[in-house]
This record gives sequence, structure tokens and C-alpha cells, in this order.
Amino acid sequence: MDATDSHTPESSATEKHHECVFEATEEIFRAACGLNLERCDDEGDLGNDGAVIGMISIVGDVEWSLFVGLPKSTAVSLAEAFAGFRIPFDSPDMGDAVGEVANILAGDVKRRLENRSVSASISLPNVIRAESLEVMVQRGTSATRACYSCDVGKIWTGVISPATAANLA
Amino acid sequence: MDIHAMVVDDSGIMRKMVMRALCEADLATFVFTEAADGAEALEKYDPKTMDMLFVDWNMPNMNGVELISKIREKEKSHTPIVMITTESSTGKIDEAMDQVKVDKYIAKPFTAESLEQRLGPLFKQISEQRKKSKGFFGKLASSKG
Repeated sequence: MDATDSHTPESSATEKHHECVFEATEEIFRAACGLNLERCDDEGDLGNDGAVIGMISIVGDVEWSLFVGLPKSTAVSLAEAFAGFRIPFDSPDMGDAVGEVANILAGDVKRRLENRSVSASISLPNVIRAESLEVMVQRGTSATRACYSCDVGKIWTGVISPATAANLA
Repeated sequence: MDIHAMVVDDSGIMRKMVMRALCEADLATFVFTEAADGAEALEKYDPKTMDMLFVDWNMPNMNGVELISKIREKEKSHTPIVMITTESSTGKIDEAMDQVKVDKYIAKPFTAESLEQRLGPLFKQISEQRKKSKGFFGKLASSKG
């Protein structure tokens, strides 16, 4: 995880966002997919076999986004765990499933922010699917991500501040 | 009890999950109509044939609260509506429930068991209302005959 700059109001707000996203991640994946997540070392990218990322914008004290990143093998098994039926990686339903997981995560993050006296609204999810996708987080900013392992593979969740959104490509 | 329900959600997967969980829950026998947003739901909504609606909150074109508000303007008798949402701020949910008279809300994620538990009283109420209504019309028919 990259270091955060704690000297500005924005970075203080961002720390709250990180806390909420990472607190919500384990709880939501357990409740929505029956998966027990454990934090693991972040090996840097989502693999070269295909990946899918669900993103939601959140507007509250500042504007930011959260994302859920899944390598292809994880995405297929996780979508099945979530929906209760098999969803091929390249079907439109995969976008729906990952978007919905991101949406549920964002709903829980919103509740956690409100418990910290930050009111927020969330956007509809956007989902990106690609053969190869690397999430690049710029050093020296308040953006962070965390990698988790579980029975179906690796999962990334993270926070992207406006300063680093352009680096997700 | 047979129920014709409309499931309104922009996510096709979520519509399937709602329909499957409702069929698995021991509440009623369902026939479903699907709509991908509020505007499509409003076009398909027929108060004469539809018994209840399951509506997502956050949708493009017309969100759930707007849809329910328009249905409440159109309807002659109260149609039971269940809001399905990731919204977990109880203040906002209470406000929406009061504003557009939502009968129940379900927080995502849900299971067939949680639907059964949460919606059981509402289905019991619908069943009792049907019995009363059948009794009234039955008496009316026999008095005319």
C-alpha cells in the first residue's frame, strides 16, 4: 500500500475512505459471496489472462472512486458464488455481476462514512473488462489498494483519488 | 397464492437473483415481468394484472423513488411495493418509505431465507386481503344471483 500525505484535508478525508473500503471489503464478500478474504501481498497486476474491474464514484466530502479488481479465473468463480449460477467471463452478465458486487460494497462504504459523519452519494457502477489490465497507483498520492486471497483466487479493492484516476489504464 | 410481480432493476443478474430467491422462499407462486429501469417499468406496469413490485433504488433513466412516486399517482388502490437497495442509511430509507409509501425494503445482499423472513408478514397481509375481497365479491354475486 502506498503512503498517504496526512497534511491536507483531502488526505485526511481519503484516509477515512480507505478505512471504510477496507473494513467493508471482508464483510461484504463474506455476506454476498460466502468468501472469507485474507489480506495478502500485492504482486502488482491482475494477470495477463484477462481481468475485470468494477468502479463506483462516490461524492461526499470530496469526489473519489472505489474499485474491485478481479483476474479472469477469480471473476468466473466469484460471480458464480455471488449469483448462484455460472456466468462466462465474456458474457454481458459478468459486467452486471461485478458491477453489482461493487455496488453492494459501495453501499456498505456509504453507511460506514455516514457513521463517521460524512454524507455521500454513489454513482451507478462502471465495469471494465480487458485481456490484460494493470492498475497503476502513483506514488506520493493518497491512492491505495489492497490485495486479498480467498478460495476462488485473488481480489483487489482500492480507492482512487481524482489525482490518480488517470493512471488506471 | 399466485402473485404476478414486476422486478425492476438495471442489472439483469440482480433481476435473476431476486426472482430465484423469491421462488425459493416459501411465500407464493410467482409469475414475473421484468423491467431494466423506471421508465420501462412504468410502460409495463398494469395495476389490473400486477399484484406487487420489487424495485431497485439506484437505476438510470428513472430511479426507484421516482418510479414509485409515479405509480402512486396512477394507481387507484395501493399496490404493495418492495424496495431493494444497497442504501443502508436508515434515515434515507425511512424518508423514501414515508415519501412514496414503500411497503418494505430489502437490503442487498439477501438470501431466500432473509426474503422469507422479511416479507412473510407482507404476503400474509396480501393473502388476507384477497380472502376478504373474494368473500365480498362472492357475497355480491350470490345476492345478485
